[in-house]
Amino acid sequence: MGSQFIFFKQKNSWLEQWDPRMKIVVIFLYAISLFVHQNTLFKAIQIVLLICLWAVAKLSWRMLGWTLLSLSLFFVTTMVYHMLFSAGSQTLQIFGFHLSKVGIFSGISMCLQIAGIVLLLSLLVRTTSPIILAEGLERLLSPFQKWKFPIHEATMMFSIALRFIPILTEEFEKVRKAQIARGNGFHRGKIRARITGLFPILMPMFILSILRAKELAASMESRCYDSNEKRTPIRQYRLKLQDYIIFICSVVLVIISVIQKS
Amino acid sequence: MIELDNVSYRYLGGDSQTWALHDINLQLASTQFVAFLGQNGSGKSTLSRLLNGLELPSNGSVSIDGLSTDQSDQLTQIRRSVQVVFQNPDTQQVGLTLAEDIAFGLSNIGYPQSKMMNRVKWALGLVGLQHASDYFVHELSGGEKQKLALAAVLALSPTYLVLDEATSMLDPMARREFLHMLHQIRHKQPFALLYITHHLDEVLHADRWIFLHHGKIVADGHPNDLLQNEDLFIRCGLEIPYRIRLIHQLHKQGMDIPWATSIDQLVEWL
Repeated sequence: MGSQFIFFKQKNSWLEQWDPRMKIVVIFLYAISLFVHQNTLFKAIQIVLLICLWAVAKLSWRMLGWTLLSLSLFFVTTMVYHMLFSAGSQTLQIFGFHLSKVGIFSGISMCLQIAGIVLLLSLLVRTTSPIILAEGLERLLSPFQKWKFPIHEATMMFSIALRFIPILTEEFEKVRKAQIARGNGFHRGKIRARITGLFPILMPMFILSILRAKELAASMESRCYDSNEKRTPIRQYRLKLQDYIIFICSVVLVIISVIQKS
Repeated sequence: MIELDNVSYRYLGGDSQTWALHDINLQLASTQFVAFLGQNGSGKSTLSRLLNGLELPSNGSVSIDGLSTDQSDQLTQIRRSVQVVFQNPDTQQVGLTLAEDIAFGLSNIGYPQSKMMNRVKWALGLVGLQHASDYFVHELSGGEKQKLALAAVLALSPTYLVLDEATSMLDPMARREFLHMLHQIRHKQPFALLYITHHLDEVLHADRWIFLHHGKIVADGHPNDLLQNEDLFIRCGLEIPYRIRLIHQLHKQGMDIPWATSIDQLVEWL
């Protein structure tokens, strides 16, 4: 239970082998180019490229379908908003409504941008173990440690939080069922009754979380953890030629987008 | 050698008159299998937390191979030497996968990165989980999680291993399996085993039993000597295993049966 919070499943794909630091940087640059570029066709090509990467990552098409389908309401709302409220002299008349041609294109453009960002993030979390992702972030942000930013603590908290989501989900289910067995009616009745009915679940959950945190802290300390001490990194990351090539391509993409915009 | 010298401990904010541990003097050798017995609230777990510096004594001193737990610069070395497996299998794992979890401790002690994965595989091999290094921790059963906790501490090559009621949340089958594996590992890789429990049947083969009651040591000796004292068990709120009760009764009938006799031997003897 709760494993749905961990999106990563090992598939031994080419994308999984990427250096996590470079993966984060490239995805950031790709997102910038998606937002900066004005040409809708260019954005559509970028989406096609992401779909190709999806295939390279050996991720299921069904998952891609669900990811895009989950955005359908957002796509429809965006399209309707842009078509009805965008300025523009050229209009189309459909069912008595005057729709702006510019609005149609800007709506499509906006939908492509959102789809692109969601696909990018989805690719990132589905092809990278959360711990590797945290390590990548930690190393990318490590220069900020010079200014006393608690980068290590933040990434450690992130990875522990991920580890504890399945346990707390399981605990929540246990407490919820125990309260239902005792006659708590939070799952029926009026909204107010449902909300007040949640307190008997939230309070034990809060106490349990604190107790668990205390036990985990003891266990970590007992295993010689000291946030002030230098730790050996678990993995060695070395940038390869392919990482540099992909990085250069991403930078070129951003430059083209900026030139096109200007 | 672990030495506790006039150790007392009182929890902050608790009743100022109640000591979790009171005036404990102990010396524990680095190869023995020592069992700490006592009912809930007798001070067993507090004692385990004092042994690797998770708590500091209110009075007295705790030293591990000459290193004092009140010296903060010596704590890493002490904790490396005294490792603890706690009761709850769910709150001891830090990593998302088994390999990451074992690597966590190694990473903390500055273990060389080039050897780390070999050490992880070795530790997982000890507990029979070598095939599962990339599994997610939350996918394991309670018994497997406890085996992982054991592997994680053994990876650090402790001199003293404290098991703080480590089997109390396991089902009987997982408990038996865990204990069998623990003794097998100890046979190959000797370390002092400090076993905290209130299940006598788990520690019948220990070298030494220490009984705690209301934070004080009330008995300390070899199991064969202490097993004769039935009142001690009643006083400390411990249940005597059926086999031992039977041997007690047979002793009263004048039959001289050794305490460590197994059920099969007992049947044969009878």
